[in-house]
Amino acid sequence: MVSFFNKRQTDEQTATPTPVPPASPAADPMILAMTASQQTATPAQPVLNGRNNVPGIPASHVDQMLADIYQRTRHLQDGAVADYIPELSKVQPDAYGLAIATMKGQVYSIGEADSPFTIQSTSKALTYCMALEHCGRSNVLACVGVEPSGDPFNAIEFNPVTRRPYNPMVNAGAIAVSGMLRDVLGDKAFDHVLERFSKAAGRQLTLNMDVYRSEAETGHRNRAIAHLLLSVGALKEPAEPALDLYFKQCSIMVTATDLALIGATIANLGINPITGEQAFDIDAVRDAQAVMFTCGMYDYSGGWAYEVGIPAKNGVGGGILGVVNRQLGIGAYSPRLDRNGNSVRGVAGLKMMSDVVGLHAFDLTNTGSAFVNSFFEPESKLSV
Amino acid sequence: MHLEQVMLPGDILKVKLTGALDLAGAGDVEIPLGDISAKHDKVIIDFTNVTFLASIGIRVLMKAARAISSRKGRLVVCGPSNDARKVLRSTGIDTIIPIVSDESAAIAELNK
Repeated sequence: MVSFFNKRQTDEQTATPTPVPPASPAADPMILAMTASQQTATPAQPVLNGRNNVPGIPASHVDQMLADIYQRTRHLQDGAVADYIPELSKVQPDAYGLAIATMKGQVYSIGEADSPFTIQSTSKALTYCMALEHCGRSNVLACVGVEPSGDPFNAIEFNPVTRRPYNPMVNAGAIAVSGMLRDVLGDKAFDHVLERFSKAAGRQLTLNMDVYRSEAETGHRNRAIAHLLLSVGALKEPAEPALDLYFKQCSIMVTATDLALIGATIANLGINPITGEQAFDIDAVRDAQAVMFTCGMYDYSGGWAYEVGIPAKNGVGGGILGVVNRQLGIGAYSPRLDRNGNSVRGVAGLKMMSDVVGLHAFDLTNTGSAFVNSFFEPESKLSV
Repeated sequence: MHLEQVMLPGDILKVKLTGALDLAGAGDVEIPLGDISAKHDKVIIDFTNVTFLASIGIRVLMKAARAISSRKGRLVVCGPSNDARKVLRSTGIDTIIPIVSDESAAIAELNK
């Protein structure tokens, strides 16, 4: 954290039950939905900022940063809602929410951060974590690579050298990962996936049956990918159970707040910072973040690493999940997508957040690993 | 963000910043600070009235300091609040840009 409010404002914020929101956006009902609360089983009631359940830690400057970013990006009307299946096109295109979760379990949000949408491709990062744990790293690497593809997310193309999908963040790789999970977990595979996703979010998530049916009925291109995977041995017969798991995992409903908490769980070595429950393996979250950093944003992955500089995974439902290792989880939701399939407002909002908080991996305020500093201290006694 | 320039004896330019050095504030001062850093070799950035410091604001500050130091000049920050000082220390910026408590200490630092 590299931003602050001066002492006077901090005192006012902590002493007043309902602090005054930023002046310019105060009349906006979306701004009034701004929250700083710990996650509960039911969506938090819209309240003014300052309801922070960690005593002694004022939330005001974080809320004001969110309000500032929200105001600066909400006017963006570019892009279009995904409509490759009818159910996705039914969403409210102007919906917009942002959320941040910390390692102490603080959750800050603004706008429609508790509006549900389907997780879509963001699920790929999470099932990849699960596959690494359940199937073993070497087996997963033998089945799916970790190289950026440079192709569209739904490309029917593999790495010509390895004859395997380029990475687990595009459809081909994710379907192969779903196949591996299906092989290991059997008929209960989706139950396990839903359970893990729910543990990561800290609440019970649900499947959107309408989206699932729509995905399953129209997923011809993904079926083609699955059969190509079969042909190179990256998927075992039969293909349909793997596809069914893939369609279902994409149809799980989440909110921006959920994505922030899932991101915080990944950042927190796989443990949800509020519930304390382990959702993902400690080694898996390291590997997953690496692939998210290089491949997580479809064809914009390079641009994302350049401009925003954090591991992230998008979804055509309009969500973006960001991870700041050992520090933050970030969730964004706005359904209008750019030509690369990324939420227009989400990308703009997270770029601003990166600039304000210094999230970029190579930002001058980001001093890197604390371990390195300790290791090279003259009095270090790490050696044995 | 408001930026006010005051010439002090000894060819020292004091730049008083007022407001939040956030996204908008960094945008407001980037060009003026770029001009200042191109023309002046002894600069004090007065942080007394800076209410918020974003990472991008530190970046703008660092660029100005780098430009001045390339001519063997110096940029000093004075008067940051305790919170700002803590941010500048935790990010290691205080090892690159001298941070002092007030204007007289800044002048002394520039005349070292």
